[in-house]
Amino acid sequence: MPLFISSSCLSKEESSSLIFDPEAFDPDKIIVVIDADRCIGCKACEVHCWNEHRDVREVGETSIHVMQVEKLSKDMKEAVCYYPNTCAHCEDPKCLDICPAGAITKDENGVVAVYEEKCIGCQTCSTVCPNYFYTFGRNSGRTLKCDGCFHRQEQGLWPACATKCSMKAIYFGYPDEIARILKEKKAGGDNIYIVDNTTEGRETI
Amino acid sequence: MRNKKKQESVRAYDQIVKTVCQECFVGCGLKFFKHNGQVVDIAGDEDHPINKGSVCPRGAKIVQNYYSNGDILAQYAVVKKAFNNTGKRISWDEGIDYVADKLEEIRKEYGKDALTVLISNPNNFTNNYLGLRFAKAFGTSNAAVYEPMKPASELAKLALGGIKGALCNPPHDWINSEVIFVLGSEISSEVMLMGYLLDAKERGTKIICVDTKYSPVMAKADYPIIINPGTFNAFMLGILNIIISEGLYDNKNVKRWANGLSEIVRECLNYKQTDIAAKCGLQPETLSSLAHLLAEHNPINVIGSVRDDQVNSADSLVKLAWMSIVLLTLNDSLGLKGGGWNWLGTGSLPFTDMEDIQGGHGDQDYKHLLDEIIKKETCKALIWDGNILDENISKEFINALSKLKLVVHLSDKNDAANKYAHVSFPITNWLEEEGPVFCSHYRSIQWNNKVTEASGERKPAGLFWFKLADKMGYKKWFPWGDKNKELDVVQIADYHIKETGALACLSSLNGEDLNPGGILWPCIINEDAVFEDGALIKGRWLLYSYKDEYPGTNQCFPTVSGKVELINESGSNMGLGQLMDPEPQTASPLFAYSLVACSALSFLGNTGPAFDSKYVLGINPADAHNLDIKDGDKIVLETENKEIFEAPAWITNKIAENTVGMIDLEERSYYAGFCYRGEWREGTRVRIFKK
Repeated sequence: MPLFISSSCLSKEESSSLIFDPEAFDPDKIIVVIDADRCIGCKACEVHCWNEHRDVREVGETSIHVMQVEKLSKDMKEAVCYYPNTCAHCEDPKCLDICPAGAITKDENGVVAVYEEKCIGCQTCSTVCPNYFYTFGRNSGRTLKCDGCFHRQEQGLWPACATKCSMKAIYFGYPDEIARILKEKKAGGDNIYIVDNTTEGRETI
Repeated sequence: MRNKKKQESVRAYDQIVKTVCQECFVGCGLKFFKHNGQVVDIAGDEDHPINKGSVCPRGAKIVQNYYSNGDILAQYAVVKKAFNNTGKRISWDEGIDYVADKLEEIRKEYGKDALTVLISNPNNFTNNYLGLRFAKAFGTSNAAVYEPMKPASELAKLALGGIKGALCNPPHDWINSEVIFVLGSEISSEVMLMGYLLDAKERGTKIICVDTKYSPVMAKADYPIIINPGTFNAFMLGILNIIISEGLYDNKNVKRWANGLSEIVRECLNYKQTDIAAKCGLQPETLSSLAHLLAEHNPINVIGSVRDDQVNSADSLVKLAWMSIVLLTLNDSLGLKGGGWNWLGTGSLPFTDMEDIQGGHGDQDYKHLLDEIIKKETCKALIWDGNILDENISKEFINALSKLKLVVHLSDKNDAANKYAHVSFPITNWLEEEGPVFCSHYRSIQWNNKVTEASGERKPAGLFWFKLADKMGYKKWFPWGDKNKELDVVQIADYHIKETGALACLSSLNGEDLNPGGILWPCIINEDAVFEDGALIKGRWLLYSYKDEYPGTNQCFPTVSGKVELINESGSNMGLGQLMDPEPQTASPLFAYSLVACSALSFLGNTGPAFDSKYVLGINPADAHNLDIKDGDKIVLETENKEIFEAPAWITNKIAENTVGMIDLEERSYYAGFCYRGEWREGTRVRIFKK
């Protein structure tokens, strides 16, 4: 389930209807949260992701990509908001249904995993991803989908991007943990934080 | 089981080495995971107060230098027959013998000043301290440690009273500011400092960012202001003009803390607000509202992060820095929590004059010496650790290098500079935990009192200088050998600290009672020092305080008068009366566009169409329309002195009208390919046309 926090990219009206409610989520499934207010587009997540998977990937092949949203605002020529685009580990992943090779599965804690060795590189998954996420190897053509750092989670560690993000803008967690983090953030100031699971209105270039 | 956000590696490792990142001035704590002596993974040090476990892309990429067979440098020192040619492997000692012999020959034939010593990494203590000592002992006056904005630190010394290094308040204090005024976007290349800006913003601090093009700081600022290239000084003058002419300051209070106010007032009123606004490309109302915002909030914090090629000259930068001190003084924001002057990239470890050595004295400007190598033919030997960012763009520099009799490179990574050398020594900048590590942005010094073994034949750069000095007979000035004739870093650090006033409270690092630690400096008296677990962890928090006397004085500011000296000898010398940026000298109306020293791609966003090129030229859609240029068209850029540069066009509204942005598509960090193009400053007039 993708969650997107931003006070700069969405308007105030949109925010009020999108307050995070942990009760609405399965308590045993992880949630990915992107805090676009803190992302500065530095691309550290890309380097960390590559480093974590460097044994099986070429240099520069990552499962996370920094994107930007641009929208005009009245007091400035334009506003830009950066965010790392990665697999949201959807609750009901469309890519899982459509994959002809059966290379995609969803495991019990919510991670949508891909068996890269099963992947045939047909790229059908990219056509249905609501997050415009899928990314493929330059030479192999096979998917580089985020595996939620499965090998790290096995050892009780959150994925590399979430652990090492330079600005602490990426979170993985169970609903109650996420609720706690968001509450702390809100308590810190007057900024309104918006939790959104929509991808509409976000244009990437 | 709940997962943890722990800085841990899942790779097999048998050792964790904690060290300080030396990629930039921030000084984050890193953890290297090693297996059988090889680096296998990297993470941030969660116990470190600066980065608290995070690592930026510049820090994270270090692992690529060390990981597996990428670490060619770890294996050997090389003597090359000629440039760009494979050489033969030799030992460190053989390499040093070769260099020493060559240097003797060169000195006999061309004199002492034929040697140039350039140290590009100001954070590596033994490298720059011993490097400068060696240069002095050899007798050359051509030696420099890279300090991006040295004049500004000289100015800080004069206006604020003698402390080299220019951070009044540490980043942890920024959350106490009401307004943070960021000049330029250099701060976004020292990524971890951005976190402190965001923290402040989350707590309600208003952020103003002024620059010539879009940047991540702009994206996060409450007031992102784009001004014309080369008009930083005009902009600052405009702000001061409005504050002074509208009386938006407390005259009595300012006079209590500062000298020279009346001269400033007279000076600033010489300019017209409307002229200034027009020059900057802003509406007069915008300038006015910013001035009011700055005047009506207290405390405010000015962060100077302007690149030196963004202003017309080093002098302009000094004037800009000085005007920002005037602004803070008018606002009464220099001696309290959340108020401060933070000029990034200034200062390094406060070196003494090394009076024990009779020899030359080299403490020159790094860029000036680089230019000398290209333009003059007096340099015959170069020892350096710098980086040739881009072989295409540095052709003339590489050409100049090829004419030298001896080029020695102290290499920490396998880049082009390593290739263009007669001898390259594989050094380590990261894996050693040596003497003090100085981090000027953070105004801190950190140390670990020991040297950790690096992989393969990588050794600390200080060892090169130490052994070379020994070989050339300067041993009496380098008495820090241990019984194995290796370098004893603790001893040098101890010596250095005793020599340096700003660290006088550390009577010795060379004691078992002092554990590894770090301080915010200066730490002039013992009362300033805060200890924890036997480690000194903190010195003076605010550099100046209205409430307390500056240590060792009976006044608030350590100047002769005890006040901020807004007008002093240096102020007069730098030419009050010419605060405005000079008008660009446009010989022909053809040269209607200004160049911006554009940042790396990641700071502007993806270009959309894929360009098969190292550079693109960013052009505003309005200009592109007038010139009939489309995305991807091959564009020729010509400067007034007929220099030509070609690259495809990228039509984007992140580049302001009437400017052309030169954007490096490959460079991840902020430093774009302006290296060794001395004349290519922001605001340089150019002509562009379709090829």
